[in-house]
Amino acid sequence: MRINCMYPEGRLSEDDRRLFQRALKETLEIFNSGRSPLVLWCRLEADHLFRAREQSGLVSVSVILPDGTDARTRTAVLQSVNNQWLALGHDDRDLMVAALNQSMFATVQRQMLARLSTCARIGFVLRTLVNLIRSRLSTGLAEYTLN
Amino acid sequence: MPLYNVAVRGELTQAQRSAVSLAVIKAHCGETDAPEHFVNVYVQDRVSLKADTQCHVNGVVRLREASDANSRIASAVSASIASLLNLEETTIDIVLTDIPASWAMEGGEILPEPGQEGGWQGLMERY
Repeated sequence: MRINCMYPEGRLSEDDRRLFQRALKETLEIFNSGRSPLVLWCRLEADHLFRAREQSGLVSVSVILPDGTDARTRTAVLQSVNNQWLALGHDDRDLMVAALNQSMFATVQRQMLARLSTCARIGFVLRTLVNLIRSRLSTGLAEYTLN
Repeated sequence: MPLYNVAVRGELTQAQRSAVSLAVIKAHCGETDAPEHFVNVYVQDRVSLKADTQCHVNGVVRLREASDANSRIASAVSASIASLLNLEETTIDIVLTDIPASWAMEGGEILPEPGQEGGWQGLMERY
């Protein structure tokens, strides 16, 4: 299981992210055969995310599940993520959660890479790996950006 | 849901980014029953897109029964962005991925199935 959290820059403090990450890991490991799931943070440029007609502070959490996960588990995962968000004092109107199939998420990732020129694609992959490792070592949060 | 990622090669002002998001929202809602409030758009500019592509749109939308639903949404979004940014539609790539409504939650509620407009009421009351 992997969890991908997207948030606009400035929307969540480092403490907010750390607390939410810990809650997600603790809560969702029961859906992951007792293993702690990997949490990745994708930081979006501030002011570039819109909802309806306004700038948005929406946080989007995608939980990547094995293909064929049953509907009851999927619903329980969605509810667990939402509950943890609420428990930390956030408003669930600012949260979107999706429980996606592994193969589907991989396809979307491939599409996002395929849109780039060859040079940009190589640069993005290298930059993302460096960012994930560096941020994980310095803050405990594995972070990357789409840029 | 839906969540669109719009990437353009050129640089956009904040007003243009807002206009792009509005164009996507209007195109999406013009083809579906989704209330505008639940359409999310992330606009990236200065993206090194592959050759001959000026704009790339990646959207995750709710699965619909009609087999041509996604192509209609894609056409509407593409035309809308082309008109706004003065681009040839052939330079706009758009990819939509659909997921069952029951795989997503907003505002603490599982999303209603497309066509079940009444399903939005409970959600809308929370916003």
